[in-house]
Amino acid sequence: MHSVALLAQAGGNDLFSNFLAFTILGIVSAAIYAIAASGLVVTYTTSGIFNFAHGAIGMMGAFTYWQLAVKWKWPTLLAIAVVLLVIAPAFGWLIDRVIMRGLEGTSEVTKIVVTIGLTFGLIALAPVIWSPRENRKVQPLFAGNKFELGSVSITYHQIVIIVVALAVAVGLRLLLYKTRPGVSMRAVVDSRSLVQLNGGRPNRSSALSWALGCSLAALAGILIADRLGLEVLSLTFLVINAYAAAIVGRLVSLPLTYLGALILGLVENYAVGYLPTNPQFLTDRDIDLTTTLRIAIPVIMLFIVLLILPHAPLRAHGLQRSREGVEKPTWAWALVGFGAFIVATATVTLFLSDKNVVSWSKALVFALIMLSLVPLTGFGGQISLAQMTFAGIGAVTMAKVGGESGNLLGIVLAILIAAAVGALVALPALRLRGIYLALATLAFAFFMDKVVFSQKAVFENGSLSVGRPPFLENDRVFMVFIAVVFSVVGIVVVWLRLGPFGRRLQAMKDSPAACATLGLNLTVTKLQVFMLSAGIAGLGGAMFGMLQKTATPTNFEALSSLPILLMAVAGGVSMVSGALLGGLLYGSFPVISEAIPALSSLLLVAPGLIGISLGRNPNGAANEIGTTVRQAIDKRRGRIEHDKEPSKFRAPMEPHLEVETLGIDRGFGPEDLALIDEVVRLDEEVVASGPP
Amino acid sequence: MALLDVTGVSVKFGGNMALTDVSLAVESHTITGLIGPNGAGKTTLFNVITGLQDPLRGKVAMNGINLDGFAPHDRSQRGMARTFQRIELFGSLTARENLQVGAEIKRAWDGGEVRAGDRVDSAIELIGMAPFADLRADRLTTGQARLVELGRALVTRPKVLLLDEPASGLDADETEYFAKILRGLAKVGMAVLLVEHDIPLVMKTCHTIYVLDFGKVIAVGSPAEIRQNQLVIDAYLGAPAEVEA
Ligand SMILES: Nc1ncnc2c1ncn2[C@@H]1O[C@H](COP(=O)(O)OP(=O)(O)O)[C@@H](O)[C@H]1O
Ligand SMILES: [Mg+2]
Repeated sequence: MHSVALLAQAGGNDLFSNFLAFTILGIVSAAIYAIAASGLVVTYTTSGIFNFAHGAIGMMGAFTYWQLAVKWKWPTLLAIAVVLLVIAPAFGWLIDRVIMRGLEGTSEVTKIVVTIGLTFGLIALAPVIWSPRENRKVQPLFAGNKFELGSVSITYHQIVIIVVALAVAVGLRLLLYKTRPGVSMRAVVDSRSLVQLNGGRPNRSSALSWALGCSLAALAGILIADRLGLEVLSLTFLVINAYAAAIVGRLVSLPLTYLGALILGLVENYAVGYLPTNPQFLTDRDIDLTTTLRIAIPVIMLFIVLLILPHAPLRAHGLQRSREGVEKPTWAWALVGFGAFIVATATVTLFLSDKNVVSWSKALVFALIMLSLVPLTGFGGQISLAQMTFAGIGAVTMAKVGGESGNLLGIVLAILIAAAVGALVALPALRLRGIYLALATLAFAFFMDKVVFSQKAVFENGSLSVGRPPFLENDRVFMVFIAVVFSVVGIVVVWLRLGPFGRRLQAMKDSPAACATLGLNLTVTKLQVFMLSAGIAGLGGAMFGMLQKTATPTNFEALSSLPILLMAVAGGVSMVSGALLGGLLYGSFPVISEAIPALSSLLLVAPGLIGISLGRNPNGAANEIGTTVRQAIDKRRGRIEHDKEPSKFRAPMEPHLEVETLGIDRGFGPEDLALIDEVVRLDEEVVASGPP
Repeated sequence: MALLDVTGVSVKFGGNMALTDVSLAVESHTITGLIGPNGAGKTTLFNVITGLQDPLRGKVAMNGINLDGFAPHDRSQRGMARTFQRIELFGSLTARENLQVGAEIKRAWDGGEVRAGDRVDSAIELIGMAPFADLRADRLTTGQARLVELGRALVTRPKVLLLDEPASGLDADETEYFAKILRGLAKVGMAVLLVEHDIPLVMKTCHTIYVLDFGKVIAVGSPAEIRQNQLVIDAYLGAPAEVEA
């Protein structure tokens, strides 16, 4: 488009009016980002839930507006009013009512994953309602009327956007600080029960904040729809720009969020005007930085802000009784399980059609990639939204290193390189709270998608061929190989869970503050588990490439990591068998929709629906099945297990069996002093200093 | 130079001073009490000492080494451990595993000549955890949970032990036994800082008592001195009915 060279030719006066034009465009973009981001901040500060679906809700708002104003030809103002004041708030209320209320007593991970499920569900739902084959357009407000400012023209639509953004800022400030419902909305996040005690109604406040958040999302969607077009993904991922802005305000400060939006809007538009053209030496190497970096500005900004954000203080939050948690694995069950799994896979390969061998092999590869989330998310409580990106790194490595004959050194390097990249991505976010790591991984997934995987230098002509070693050439043999690899990694994961590292991860998930005061370096621990996870995903990617014998950028799109997380959590992300179940379930969708085409759009929405329903069973399907089986076995043995079994949870408020005595029913004698010495045994210097 | 030195610590939350110029010293081989009404700033002071809260001013030193800029885990590795007023056990682990985590973290950074498992077993015996050692920590009663937190702090072999209302939730007999453990800990050389509303317990175990009110130290002294201090009686001890159990 524009370039410095062109501008320089245009002469001094044009130089200035160009600058003015970019500035105005920047401010207009900023205004939209600010509106979107303020909705995000409102829900976060008032409900304590980071709403990943904010962008998707805005997208639905824009489509609904199109339906009313364009398709049904309602007057513009009426359509806007109905969307913003009726439909969007009603949707927000519904989300709160149906989804969020069910999430009490679940972990932050579950809450975030549920909003990711909502995102994915809406992305899949929109094309079902609004067929992508139809061409849709919304006009700017006031039919694009404009006035001139010097040689720059400004549309009324742009003026409206800026005015609305300012009005939202003032309105939110007044609402949250000067009105009763607003003040109690802010209080809900601090303590639900306390608000109740003071006569507030936390349920109403939470519903109100979701309604308001959805309305703001829809507003941003409607205002930007004429520019972005009615395109599901670009509207949905407007939210990334909102994240980048909101993170400047640490997700809580509205003024700083507006500042972030302004910086982002201006930088983006100046980049359009002034970013130098791609240097020739890069073009020669099939690398284009100019266009790709421009697209990636919001995620680059997100990263930079993460790097400079101050360390968040650790807070003790008190022990909460959770509905989550699964039985520890036992070696006997694990080994029998893996053995049975390999034998079953080998047997199944004998009966599957050639095509289905590949389909189900793919399911197993997905299971392997989901397994990468078991230590990270299941044990450690950290979220990654970039597992398919790490898989992509693994696939590219395997293609380039493994060569025609699929040298297995490629697999080793795939693991190591994915892990190393994982470390680089995670480092800036690890000092911060979990939500920031999730955001950083999402930003990274986009960066890789738009800037790296899109380069010809990486994926050559849009696909890379990946070799297999001769002994794995046969697809049936390869399927068994995948099962073996899954089992080996699974054994490592079980081994970790039963050892000190797994305990430490579990502890870190439960109480970071307590871990730190026991001497655990949280950053190092998170880094270790993140690298492990990225490495397993890289291995999964290498297997993915070898299975298909090719790898393409679309396999590893940013979006493709969302269903991986959703299905892993639905299967049971704290268990190896949960990852397997998740993979099989996910892999079964294409097989089923091929067999029964009528189900195909339902199956597209399925991961979203499954994600949304997690509130009901946050421990995943594998745990449910395991518990049922175990109970059935116990029943047959005539054994009635009492409360000793922690995996099957009752509602959090129900009373539980308590051991009556503390065991302190004896005196305290010299042997106890010996015991103390055994436990603590202090350094010589301390003991030597003697009593004062 | 005491084992733990707090000098001139102030903390501000929004517009409110939670702590103003607080100084205290905790010697090894002693139990030091820290008492005061709810909201006086006791837990905040613990957070400052353990590095969970940055002070506005002031410093914390251990063995004369200024801990400014030390992360919580660095402080712990120098020999500090604490319990929490609002219990911070690892809810999805069993009581025994809670102790194991503590012992294993400790062993990971100092190599420790005692096997982590042995230390855990001794601790379980010492604090009488055996009957509930294999229950999930989020299923424990408050009293049990407090003991597990004590055990988890002990297995890191701290030189300085900070206890935030450890006896709330314990009955009279349990408190009695608990007091004996505390004395035992002091006897082997530990420096214990005890925040507790159970005044009789504080009076009979502590060597020195600090009294905090509205973020300020209003009195320091032996139990006998504190009991007679008019300021303390007015602010805290005065009407026994107000003292929380
Ligand atoms: N994180 C925080 N943010 C704001 N105020 C706090 C915070 N923590 C404690 N406070 C306030 O600081 C004061 C001291 O609290 P605290 O240290 O918990 O007292 P104590 O433990 O003596 O009961 C109280 O007024 C409390 O409301
Ligand atoms: Mg307190």
